[in-house]
Amino acid sequence: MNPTSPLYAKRRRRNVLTMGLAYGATGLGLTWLVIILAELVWDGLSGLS
Amino acid sequence: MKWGRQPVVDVALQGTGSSTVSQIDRARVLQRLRLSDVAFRHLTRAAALAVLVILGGIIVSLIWGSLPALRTFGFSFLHEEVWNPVTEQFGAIAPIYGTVVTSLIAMLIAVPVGLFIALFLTELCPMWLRRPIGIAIELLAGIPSIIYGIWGLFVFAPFLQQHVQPFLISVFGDIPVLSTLFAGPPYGIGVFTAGLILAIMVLPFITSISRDVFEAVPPVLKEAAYGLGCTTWEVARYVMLPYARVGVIGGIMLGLGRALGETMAVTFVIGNAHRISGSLLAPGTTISATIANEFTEAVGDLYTSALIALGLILFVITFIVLSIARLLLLRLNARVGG
Repeated sequence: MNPTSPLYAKRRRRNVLTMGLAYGATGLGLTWLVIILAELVWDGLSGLS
Repeated sequence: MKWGRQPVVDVALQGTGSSTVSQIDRARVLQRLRLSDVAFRHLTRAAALAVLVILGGIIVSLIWGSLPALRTFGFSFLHEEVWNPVTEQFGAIAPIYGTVVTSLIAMLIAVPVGLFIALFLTELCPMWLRRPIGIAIELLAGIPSIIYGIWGLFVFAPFLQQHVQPFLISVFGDIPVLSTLFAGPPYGIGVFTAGLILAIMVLPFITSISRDVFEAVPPVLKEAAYGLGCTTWEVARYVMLPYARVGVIGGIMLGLGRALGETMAVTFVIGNAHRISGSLLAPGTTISATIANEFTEAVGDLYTSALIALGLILFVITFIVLSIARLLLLRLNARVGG
């Protein structure tokens, strides 16, 4: 495959985009978890004191 | 000869002895073997039938309980919006609409995100990180729905009210269809918020099942595709997804089933208003939220019957969704010859 061909560039772009989405989706899922747990711990501990 | 605790299989496999005592003992053991086999068969059959009996019992009791409401309101129960316990006028369209729309929002968000997380975990993530991230995502499934509810009400809804909903209203305010979907004051709670909470709740189900079925794809198929020069996305799209489609659809249906029936988290954040609004930001209600909110206050046979009829409708919706999923899979399998 010629790296300068438009088809190669298109496939490469699409791959980078979808892999970026995969990283983003995982980051989103982990962020939700961290926010929920952090909020629970923070508010829970402040409620105990 | 005394057989004692000797495994019965050994006895059964032993050749026929010449002595009469040996033959009698062997026949006795084989008889015991046959009896236990018959008992086991009946036990498993009874367990399978018990499931059908319980299911049938639930259906019959739902229909029986909802008969007064269905007799009184007839078909209009399905399309009337009014829900007034004082005048005993009941219609189910608002809870049906809320249930379907919140589940739809949840699936629209959770399915692509879940599939991409599964793709990350199977194809992109370093080996040492796969287990911790997988466990972390599955931890989301372990959080009780009441926690999602209070978190949604006290943290998520105020955040949406102050930052996200005003932004959506201002951005989509001039676009014809979207201006209706994102219209009205930003309450924080509402159908949109309930859909987002449901999306977070069903995400781990879709992710973990998709990851498991992606991992079951034979490495030789993926390696062959990589060897031909496919990109990671092309391997996922044209090799992994077709191979794992049954499992992926199963995971999605599991998530949808949970979204349709979820009660506590939705009850906290949906606003519990028996009306249909064109705006997703407006308060609404779902079938399960209505039942949970009103069952303790339901006085009078008609009120109770209307709530049971709502339960019957939820049951029917779930049944229809699962049937469609099954048909979809059958058609998919027939098309690819699977």
